[in-house]
Amino acid sequence: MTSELAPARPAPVEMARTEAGFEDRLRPLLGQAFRLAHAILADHHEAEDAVQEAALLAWRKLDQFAERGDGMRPWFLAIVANECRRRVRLRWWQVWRRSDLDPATTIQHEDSVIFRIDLSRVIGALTPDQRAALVLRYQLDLSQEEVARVLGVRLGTAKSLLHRAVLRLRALMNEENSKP
Amino acid sequence: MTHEDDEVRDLVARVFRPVQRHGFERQVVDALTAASRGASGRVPRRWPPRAALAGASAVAVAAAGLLWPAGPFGQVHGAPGAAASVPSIQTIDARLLAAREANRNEIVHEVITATGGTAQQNEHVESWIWPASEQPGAEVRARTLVPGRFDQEQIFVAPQYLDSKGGSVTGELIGVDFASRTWSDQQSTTFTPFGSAAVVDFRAGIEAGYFRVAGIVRLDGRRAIQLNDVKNGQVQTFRSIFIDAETYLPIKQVSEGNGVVQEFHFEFLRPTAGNLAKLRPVIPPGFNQTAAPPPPTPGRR
Repeated sequence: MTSELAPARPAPVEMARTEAGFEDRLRPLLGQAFRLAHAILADHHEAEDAVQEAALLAWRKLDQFAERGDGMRPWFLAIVANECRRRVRLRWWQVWRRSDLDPATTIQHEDSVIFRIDLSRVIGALTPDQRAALVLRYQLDLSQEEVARVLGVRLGTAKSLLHRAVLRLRALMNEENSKP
Repeated sequence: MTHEDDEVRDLVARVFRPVQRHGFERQVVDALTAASRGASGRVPRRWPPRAALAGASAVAVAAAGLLWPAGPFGQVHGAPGAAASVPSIQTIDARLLAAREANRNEIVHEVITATGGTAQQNEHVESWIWPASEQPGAEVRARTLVPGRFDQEQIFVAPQYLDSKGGSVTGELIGVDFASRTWSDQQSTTFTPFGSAAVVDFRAGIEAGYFRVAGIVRLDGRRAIQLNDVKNGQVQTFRSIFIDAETYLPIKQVSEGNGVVQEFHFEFLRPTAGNLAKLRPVIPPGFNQTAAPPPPTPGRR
């Protein structure tokens, strides 16, 4: 179904129906998907799993993408976000405990400015949706409308989420910076 | 984007800096290729994600010939002779999940020892957690004992996910403090759950491809499959894990991080009255009850 408001169905949609076409269109999005998944899950392995699972889901749901006629990036990232949130709900205990035991999750940077900042604490103090919104908007450069679409919320909710996330991030970074 | 946006962008860039593993994109594309060719969406050289395997349900796993009838703890789960040869890593992963599902209502007893670190890091910790696989909305009981320091039971309802304030829950806390010779029972208080997900941690490591099968070894009189970390030269969370070659339940995990070597010894106990009693701290004679535990002392978790 095509409406005047919806963008014309792009030819690549048909191309995406083929294995090679889908892979070609998906491959440039995998890095972004990983960033989003890592922001939500705060776990490298879990993020990889989530993206792979989301890619398979996207392949199976390709008809839905074609019918909507939307851009592939927000569509795929929405699948990634949903998969990540499902995992967060299922794995609350494990995620917490792993971060406690797993030195691999202890983020260390050589950057002298932030070396003393406990980034894992900052990340952990933001909710998964706040982290997702920040990365979508300020790392992947999605518009606020696209952020809303990816997270499955109204535009006003997305704006509010972003606003609170930015305030929280600033406060946390100020706290960390003020540490002796 | 405004100047303010640029400032936020800089903050976000400083905080969120995941490093994508080389070959990850290829791996996903391979999985897609396998899916499009009817290979159940699984790339042969990488095992399925946890959730996919769990979501596939026991039916799918059984259809693949990987699931055996669940039995009481201690009963052999594998088919006769199944452990005679060294199984593949994919098979091990699937059987681990099947064993975990079959024993999800057991009590996990862990003994954790650490060496190579500071005196505080080198603690001996013992814990009992029930159930072994907690479900959001269901009650969890977890006892943690650090001999000579504290003995604590936490009773709480597993939330959907932890909040943003350090991961706290509200529940009952029964604690014994050896230094002050006191104990307390707080019916409703907020705390950070101890627990341990080490049992599932190494499944995550297996699925991430960080292990190879080293072989079958004898461990505490049992035949065990040893898996070794293959992430040479990188951060090593795990070094070796040992899985019972018959039940496919975890026996032992050796982890290393920042110079501290941790050994986890696992035991799965049936939730009998006697074993459930182990979830309750033992209050030594002469200890006085207080309203709340004493303030934390340095080094106390």
